[in-house]
Amino acid sequence: MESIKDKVAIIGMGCSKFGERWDSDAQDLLVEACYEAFEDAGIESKDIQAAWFGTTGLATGQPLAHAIKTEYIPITRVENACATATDAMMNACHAVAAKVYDLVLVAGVEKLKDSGVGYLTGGGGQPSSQTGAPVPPPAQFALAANRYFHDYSLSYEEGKKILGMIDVKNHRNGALNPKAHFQREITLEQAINAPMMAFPLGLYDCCGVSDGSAAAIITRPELARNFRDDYILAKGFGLAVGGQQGMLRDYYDFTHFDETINAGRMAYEAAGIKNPRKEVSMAEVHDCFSITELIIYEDMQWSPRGRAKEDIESGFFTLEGGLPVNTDGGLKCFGHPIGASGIRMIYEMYLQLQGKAGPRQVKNPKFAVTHNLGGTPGSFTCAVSIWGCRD
Amino acid sequence: MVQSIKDRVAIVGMGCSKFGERWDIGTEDLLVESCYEAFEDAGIESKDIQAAWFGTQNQMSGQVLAHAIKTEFIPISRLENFCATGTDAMMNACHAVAAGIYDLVLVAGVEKLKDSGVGYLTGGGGQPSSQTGAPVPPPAQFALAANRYFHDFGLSYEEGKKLLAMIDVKNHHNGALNPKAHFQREITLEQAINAPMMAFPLGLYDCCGVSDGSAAAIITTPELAKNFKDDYILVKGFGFAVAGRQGMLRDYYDFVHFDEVLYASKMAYEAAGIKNPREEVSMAEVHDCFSITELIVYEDMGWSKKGHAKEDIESGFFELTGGLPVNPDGGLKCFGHPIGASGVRMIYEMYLQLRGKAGARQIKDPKIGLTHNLGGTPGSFTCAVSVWGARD
Repeated sequence: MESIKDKVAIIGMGCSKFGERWDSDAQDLLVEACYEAFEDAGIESKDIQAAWFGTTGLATGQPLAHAIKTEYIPITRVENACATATDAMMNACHAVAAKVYDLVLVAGVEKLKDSGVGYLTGGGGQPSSQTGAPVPPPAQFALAANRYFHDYSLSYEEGKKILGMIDVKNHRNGALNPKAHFQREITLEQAINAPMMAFPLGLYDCCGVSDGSAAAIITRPELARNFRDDYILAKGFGLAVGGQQGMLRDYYDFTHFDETINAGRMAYEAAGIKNPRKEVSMAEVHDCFSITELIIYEDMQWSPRGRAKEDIESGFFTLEGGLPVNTDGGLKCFGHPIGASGIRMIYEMYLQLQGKAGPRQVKNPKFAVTHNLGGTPGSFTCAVSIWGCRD
Repeated sequence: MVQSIKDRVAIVGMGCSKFGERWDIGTEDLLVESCYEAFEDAGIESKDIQAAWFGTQNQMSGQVLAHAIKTEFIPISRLENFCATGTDAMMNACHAVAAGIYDLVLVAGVEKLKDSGVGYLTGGGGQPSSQTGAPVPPPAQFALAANRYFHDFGLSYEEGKKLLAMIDVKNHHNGALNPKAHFQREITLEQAINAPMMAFPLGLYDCCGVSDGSAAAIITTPELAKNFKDDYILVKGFGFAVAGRQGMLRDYYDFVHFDEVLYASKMAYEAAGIKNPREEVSMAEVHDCFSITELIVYEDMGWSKKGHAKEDIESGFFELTGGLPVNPDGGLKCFGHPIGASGVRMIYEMYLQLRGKAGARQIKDPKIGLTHNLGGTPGSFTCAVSVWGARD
């Protein structure tokens, strides 16, 4: 088995404005993201040899072909709940690393507005022996918050405060980002006192429902310099898929996510990272809810188990801290169009590594991590990717 | 320079569930059935699998497969491309093995269509988009191709119905030899011609059934394959072509050829080094969702000349005993069509045939086995082709 490290380069990326895009449908969003990526790479639609298409709500590769007018090229559609886009990137990277294609597009999109309640109420599908409760995501993750407060002896006020600090951080970063769904700061008081969604998670502890698309053009490192000097390189991937272990084992504690732990380890090993807290320069993580981000700090080995509180309070994860997390506003502010999110995360890391993140710029970043998580506490799909500058 | 996938991936084990109306079991049970047969065939256990590719139209994420076969947090990608799903999953798994990222990988496809409404085949729904596909069921969509084919190539209704019926009779004959097929009985030409109309001119026996089923494969590199079995098979090429509604948007589209099949077959033949398909392809599994689909595929795959499939059908060229047996296992018509599983099931039959294990359906000395998997509608398809061969 070989690592993916340094076998794939990103030479162009694009990202649509995320938000309530009443004016655009899925294909329009794809055109917006893909054409920005083509322009960034200096190519045209007809140069693409194959594509990987991440989306939960559309079927087949055809909507992408239709949007960007490709002529009968291979387009694989990938889906893995909220981890869809990183999975699409990973599969595209395999094909490039295998040298089956030279120039490949990865595009993710989700059109959640005008689609009912954003596909997030669950239920439906084919009959199976699975017995998941039809509980919406805020309630599912509230379980983790309640257990975390309890297990680590946080009073309601203490717990709400650290969750509130994560919300404030992400809003502050989002306010610096012209493509984000939400672009305004909030105060700690606003976060703590917001209307309750599912106790103890309030309005600002939950990411929004957004439309959006993001895209990347990838190739092999040997060919990358034909396109630009400041391409970035894949350093590792991790993908860990749960089979309901947490739900079936009555000792599951709800305060750690095995899938994140496993995917993080896989990716660190592929990238050769031994001390994540020190070596990871910055990260985009899956803050569908503030508690998710908190638990990720520990599962990704940045904070010691049960002690994320100290790092949150010291500002370790803020833009100026030792390991800035969600510099672009995260799912909370940038938004969460399911099939696009994983690529949007890579988009911010791409800009950061190239020194093009403007007011959000992190100093001298080396290793960038994206963490993309789908499912529910007890059974997740977690996809982690790691990127770095060329030498 | 791009490199062909040829000879870079080997199949060392396969399994396939009984296809049909499986009222007794659900999705996970079907996966257990096919995957455990594959594990046994390869001589491995679930815990040996390093990563998996999961093809299904209707289940979400890779978790359903993880839950069924009890993997512990391994990578599982879920892929979907309508009826071409199974082959797409195989292709992506092959990329990962060819890139050296994993040594031992599972590909599994499944669909549970019974107890699911009308088998998800009525169309409609989904997110808002500018697409304006008519919500017409598949038999009607493909009936358009049949009507145009009869017209363009001067076939009377009787002549056309007879040709289509010969395809139905062939597939039923092959399916009757297959204990895993959904339908296992022969039919007569008269029964096929006079069957109740589904969408003119397609009758009951011109349309594949709605089936539950699962199929699975274990793949590795050729270097490691000999550790598992001597008679592994090798990938020779893939072709994959996805349309963006060109046929629907161009008013000169004729409905008697499928561009996606032309493109995908060309890609696959090139990767496999096949220059004369009619001579070099030993046997094939094609996507006979409808008899007319199989007929048009004979031509678009380069086996019969355009407009001349009639002669080959009448001479028995595509029968089990013919020069290029097509659908030796009964095809979609008789084996059945659980959407996410079909592409892998096609490879299953080619795997058995190449290793001389197809029993009553065995073709003599096959060298190259081809699978053709097609999703969508005339005017906008996803077509995936795979080519396999015995080891040297």
